Amino acid sequence: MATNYYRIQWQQTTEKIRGLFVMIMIVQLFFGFVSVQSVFREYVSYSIYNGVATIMVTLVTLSFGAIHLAKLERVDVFRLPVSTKWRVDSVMLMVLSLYGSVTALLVPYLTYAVTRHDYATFYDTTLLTSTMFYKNVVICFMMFLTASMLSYTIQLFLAYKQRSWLIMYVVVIGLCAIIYVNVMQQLFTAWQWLCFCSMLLVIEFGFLQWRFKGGSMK
Amino acid sequence: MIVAALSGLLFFVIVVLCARLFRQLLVKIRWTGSIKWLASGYVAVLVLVAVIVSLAEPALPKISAEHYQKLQRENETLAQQFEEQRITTPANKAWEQPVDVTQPFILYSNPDVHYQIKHVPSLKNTVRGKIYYANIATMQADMSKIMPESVIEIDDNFLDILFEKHGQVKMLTDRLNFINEQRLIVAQTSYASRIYVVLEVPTKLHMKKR
Repeated sequence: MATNYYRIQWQQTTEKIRGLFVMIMIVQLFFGFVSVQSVFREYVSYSIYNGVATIMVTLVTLSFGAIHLAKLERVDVFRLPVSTKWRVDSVMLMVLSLYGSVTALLVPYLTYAVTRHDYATFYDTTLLTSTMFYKNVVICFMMFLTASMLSYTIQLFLAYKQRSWLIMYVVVIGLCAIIYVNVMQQLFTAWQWLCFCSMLLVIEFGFLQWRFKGGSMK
Repeated sequence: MIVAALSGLLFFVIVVLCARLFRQLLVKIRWTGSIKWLASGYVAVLVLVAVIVSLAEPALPKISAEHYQKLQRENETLAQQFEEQRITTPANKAWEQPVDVTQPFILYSNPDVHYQIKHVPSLKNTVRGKIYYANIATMQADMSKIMPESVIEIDDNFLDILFEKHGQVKMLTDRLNFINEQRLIVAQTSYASRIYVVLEVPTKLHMKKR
């Protein structure tokens, strides 16, 4: 019977990153409940900032988690090929990004359940019936995936001691981002965010496929 | 000083204890075991809360009859002041104001964005406005219909704009705004902050941003 390396790698990956699910949950709940106190202020503009706060902390948590995921264990007797590792890890990061984007957008609605009633008339409570929610999930998913893959790739280059390729990678990413921002000349719309994220994702996966193929690196 | 140092130390000890507990928690949770159920349960609870919040009707504020009558009286006083021309607005609570439909109807502009309504045949040459006293506005105006698809902020005011699918464009600000030469003017009166103006403009307007 042929050994399924992907299955073994999946087990290793989940073993390594399982805490991040709980970490994301705790961070989101903390920031969600911190924003409850703004309910009792005079004005009612927090529904937007609230969402942005949870999205930002989730993004930061995911990026740091991806760094942890890319690190190599010191005492790793049985190490699988690096191509298997980054493919499985990117699938895991996709799962985490989807989880993070859905929960980050839903957490602010916990606070809506405890707000004063007359404030409920001011903001959109038709959450799941409006298409805006699903659009935001897609955009958030792409942003989270891009950010986490970025830190993952950088850490993977560092772990395999490829400094020159790392510098080249960062320069390419930076140049593309700067050129894109300069061409757009404004705050991004939804489609422009999607294009931006998919451009960076193509570069990231391209570099991974180019530099980390096959069994060993050296 | 000592108290501050002690409380700082206590806080530090608590943080360290929490971190150790948290680490133990993370070590004990396995993907095959509770973490899968924990994560999916979290998502399920959030979706449930969201569905409940979505289904709940936006409730109006509960106030007593006396309070309501007091607000009503204040509203009438305000209307009287309008009629006596003590506030520089059109005389009645509701009015119609001419709009030149050949010109672009500019809603709001600043150096960065510039919103305007393109000319459409359904745009009549009048705009109907209605003034509400601030405390009563939430009761009289049906604000459940004007949930913002996009919210544009003007200083501390809100300008809520709905797009075609909602069929109606209404502006709600907490200052006294009215259309003058196709522009929104904020009237600087001492009464202004207590007044809502809801302007009703025709349906199916195409918003253009440039």
